[in-house]
Amino acid sequence: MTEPLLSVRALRCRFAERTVLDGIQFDLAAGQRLSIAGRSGRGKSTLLRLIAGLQDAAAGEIQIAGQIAMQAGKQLLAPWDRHLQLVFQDLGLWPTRTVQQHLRDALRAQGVRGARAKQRATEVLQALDLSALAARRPGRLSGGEARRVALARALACQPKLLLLDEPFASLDAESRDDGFRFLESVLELSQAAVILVTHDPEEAARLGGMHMQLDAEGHLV
Amino acid sequence: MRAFIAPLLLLAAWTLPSCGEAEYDLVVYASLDKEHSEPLIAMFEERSGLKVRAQYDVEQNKTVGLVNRLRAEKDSPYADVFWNNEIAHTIRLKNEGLTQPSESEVTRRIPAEFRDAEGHWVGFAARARVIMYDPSLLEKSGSQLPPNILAMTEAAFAPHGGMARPLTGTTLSHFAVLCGQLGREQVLAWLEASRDSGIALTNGNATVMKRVCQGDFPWCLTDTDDAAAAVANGYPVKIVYPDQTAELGGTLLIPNTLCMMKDAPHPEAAQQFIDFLISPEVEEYLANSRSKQIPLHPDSKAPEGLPMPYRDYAVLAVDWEAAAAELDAVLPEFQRIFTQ
Amino acid sequence: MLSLRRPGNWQGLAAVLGLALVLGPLGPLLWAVLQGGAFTELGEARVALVFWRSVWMAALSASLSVLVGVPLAILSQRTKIYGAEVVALLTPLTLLLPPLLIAQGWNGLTGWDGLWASVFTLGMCFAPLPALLAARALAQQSATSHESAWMMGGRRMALREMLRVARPAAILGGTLAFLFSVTDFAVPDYMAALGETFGVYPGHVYNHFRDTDYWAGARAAAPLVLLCAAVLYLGLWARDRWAGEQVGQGRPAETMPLAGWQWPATLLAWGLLGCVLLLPLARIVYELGVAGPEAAGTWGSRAGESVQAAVERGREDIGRSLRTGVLAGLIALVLAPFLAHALVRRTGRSARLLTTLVALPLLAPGVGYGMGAIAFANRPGWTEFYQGNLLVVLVFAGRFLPIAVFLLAERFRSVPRSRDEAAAVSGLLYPQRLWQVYLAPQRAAWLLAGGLVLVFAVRELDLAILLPGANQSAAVRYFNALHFARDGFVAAFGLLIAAILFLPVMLHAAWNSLRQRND
Repeated sequence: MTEPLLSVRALRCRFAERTVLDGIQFDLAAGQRLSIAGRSGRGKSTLLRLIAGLQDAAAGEIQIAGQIAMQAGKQLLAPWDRHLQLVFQDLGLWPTRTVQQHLRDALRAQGVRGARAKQRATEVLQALDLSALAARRPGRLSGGEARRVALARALACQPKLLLLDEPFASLDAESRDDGFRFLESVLELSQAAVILVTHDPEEAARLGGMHMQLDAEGHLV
Repeated sequence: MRAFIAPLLLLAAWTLPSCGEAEYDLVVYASLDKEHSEPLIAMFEERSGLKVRAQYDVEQNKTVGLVNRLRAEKDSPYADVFWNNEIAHTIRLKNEGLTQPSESEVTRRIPAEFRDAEGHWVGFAARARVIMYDPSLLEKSGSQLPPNILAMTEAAFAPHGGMARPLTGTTLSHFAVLCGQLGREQVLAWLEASRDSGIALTNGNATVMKRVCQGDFPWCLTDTDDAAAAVANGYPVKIVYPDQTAELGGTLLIPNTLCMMKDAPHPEAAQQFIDFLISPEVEEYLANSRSKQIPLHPDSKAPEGLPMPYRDYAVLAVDWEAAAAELDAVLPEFQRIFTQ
Repeated sequence: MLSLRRPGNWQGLAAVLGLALVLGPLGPLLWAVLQGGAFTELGEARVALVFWRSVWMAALSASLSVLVGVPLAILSQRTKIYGAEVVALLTPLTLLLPPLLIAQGWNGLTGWDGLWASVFTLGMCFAPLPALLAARALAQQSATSHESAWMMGGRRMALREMLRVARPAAILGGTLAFLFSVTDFAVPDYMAALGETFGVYPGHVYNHFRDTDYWAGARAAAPLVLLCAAVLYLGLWARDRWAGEQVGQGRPAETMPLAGWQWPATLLAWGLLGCVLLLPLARIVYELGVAGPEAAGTWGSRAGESVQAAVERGREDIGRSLRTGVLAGLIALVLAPFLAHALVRRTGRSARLLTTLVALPLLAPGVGYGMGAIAFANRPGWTEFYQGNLLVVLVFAGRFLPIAVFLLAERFRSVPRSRDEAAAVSGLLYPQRLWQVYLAPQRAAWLLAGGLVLVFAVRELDLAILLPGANQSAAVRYFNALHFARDGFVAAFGLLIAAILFLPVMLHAAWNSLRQRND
């Protein structure tokens, strides 16, 4: 059997007296899709943050692309060495940067600089039909546009794993439709595995692939 | 909201009474060091039973100070007495018609050279313009003290000494006097030359005194009260009274001056205050204070060890009216030379 | 009929009251300038040289302020260096000390003098301005915008994003540092007195204020005021140009882990704080008991005497200054929210022009403002008003009101417009709306705005010399002693005033920490 891209074992996370995640365990192969549904406040975002390496857990292990990323709840691998990208629920765009600069910054982080970065950013923008937004800052983007930019930025990093934290929350049905089509084009371009967390079962179903549910005790079922 | 506003209202209640204005029997504008003038004003209040409002000046931050305030207030005078720690600006105020005569039996006891012939101002408790030096620093520098003030900018002396720029205070008055004595052109040329002579040019007499105390250079031209402050602070400095030859005329003395303002709201109290300040008792108090001011009243007793003018050193005879007129003319020139 | 719900009516009333506070002193100044001839002297080579020297010196000082202030803000606000909270708390203290005292401290420590020492000292004196504004901006950075950068490029990319977030605030802080540096005369004058002589334009202005025709000072000041207004406008434009709206879920960005950089970063932060505050402060403390080799007593005994003298002689003056400052601060507390709200409701050029206009009382030279106040208030029949404290309170409130307005406007800017609109739709009276949407959630900032007016009022010297009711004040006693070289007393009194003025900052910090604990 081929080695999974992501392997999560016995992950437990507590906030003060409350256990939000308990005994989380799953594998994800390259290019595979997983949607995790659950009501608000059940720890869906926390799970993504743990996988991304943004916070420690109480216990558990995570392996990414064969490397031990977390052991006994402690993060061992820096987020930027995990070959993944996280699209936050509030997107985490950089308020003073234009859309094109977002992509160039992301490319620069991958070691692509100067004219090459500019060219590559332009290519990604064209491929994703975002060229018209290139010179705009986040403050001048609509909700749907901002989400597409956040996905494009993630794509520019050429991640092996894409973590999506309710990327289409608070969008109307039509915009969400557009968003999903856009996500499909991103995934087609990147061939990345994806974990989508959402409170909306319909979104989970639409992504396809595996489905899991976080219950009130913090178990993944 | 109430819990937040209530303390602020209490604060306002605490501060509001300070807006009420007390009645005063006398208003004095004083440019002498507050440390010395404040106790004397308190002493006057105690003896006379009058309530005095004193207004003080500073020079360090180059505010325009009380002189311009007196000018600005001329249409509705507020001050009764101006107590100036030098003389030139007092005469300027007189010439601008802002003072009035305030003669009395007491003022007439002051030597004629230190009071106005028309009674507009009277001098007391003077400072001398002296060269202060640190003997050990002087020895280490291998140089000597300049034999007179004009020699200060000569190559042999200038790199080892300092003086205040003549833009304010007694240094301004001093060079205005020199303009009258030696001719304006010569003094201006001398000041122009001083900029490149190597002599340290500071913003005040206290600063130049401190630089000698810090060991920056061995000597400086300053006032006796600044030199006395250096001694009081424990620095091993000595004083030379310059220009003690018949040709040079003697050391310049610059008295404190008092004048009553024109249309002063409280003229009687003002006269009472002027008479009090020029009394031997006050002069002796100032002579014994940290600033070692030099008494001018013939009945004042000088403390032991304080060199007295005319007795221990020659004093430059000055036409103060001419010096004040000169000051008006040369100040812009001085500013041109030293504001570059 | 006037509606209590319409913001314009209240803001208009506040603007009229604010104008009433400043027109008295500013009117005669403006009148003098309008007589003409304000710019003719700039045609003289000597005056032009001094003017441009002032400009580039202030530009260098302001750049230095930014170079020191922004790292201080990042290190104290967004990293876990040892003692980050203490660094953040102490940074503003420098603003409470007169720059001249800092200059004396540096000269005493290092012997530096002349033009470059002046540039350095002013840079240090005003570094807290960009530091404070940048720290505030960094505190508002959205957690996920920081984490996005952190995930992609680690420390370097996160740091770069922090610099971008801090940039608009740093530009504004640098602009303010420029304004304070270019109008300062005490420090260049002091440094020129110790080393190589050089003149600055404020010296030229002050010289003219000493003319028999003292309105010549107002005319000489006009180019400097105009320059300051232009720089402020440009600074606001640059701030707006680089500003971006932080979109987030309200979760503050976490501090950045430093790993092996913990100690170097800590040393850098404390080193910068040392330059901005601790080193000159240490020298001032040393001055408490410094004396010549023949002085009696020990350093300790002399320092004790200095402190005792400062408390005994200065107590009543400090009390008077505080009372005046508190009343001026209270007036600012009432008027500033309305004017600040009027500012944030505007955008672009009109907001920048209005801000520059509001700043005018602050940009006018203190001496001129004082002479204007005399010309306005010293008239027959007004004696009680002229000699009383009420005039002082009103003049101080008018002059320093812009500080409170700017601080509140900066804070109001971070309140979502929707919250304001919801309150308006609910039918609240305008003052209620202002309270519930803007002031109640930011009580500490509101108090701080009043506190800053208090601080500037207590520090103000030029007006204190010129206004009868202000003369018996801490500032006059302090500078009087400074002029007459009462070194120990000056050090003790300066520290005493700073300690008392620092109280609002301490209270602000305590309030914040209490609020965070309650949250």
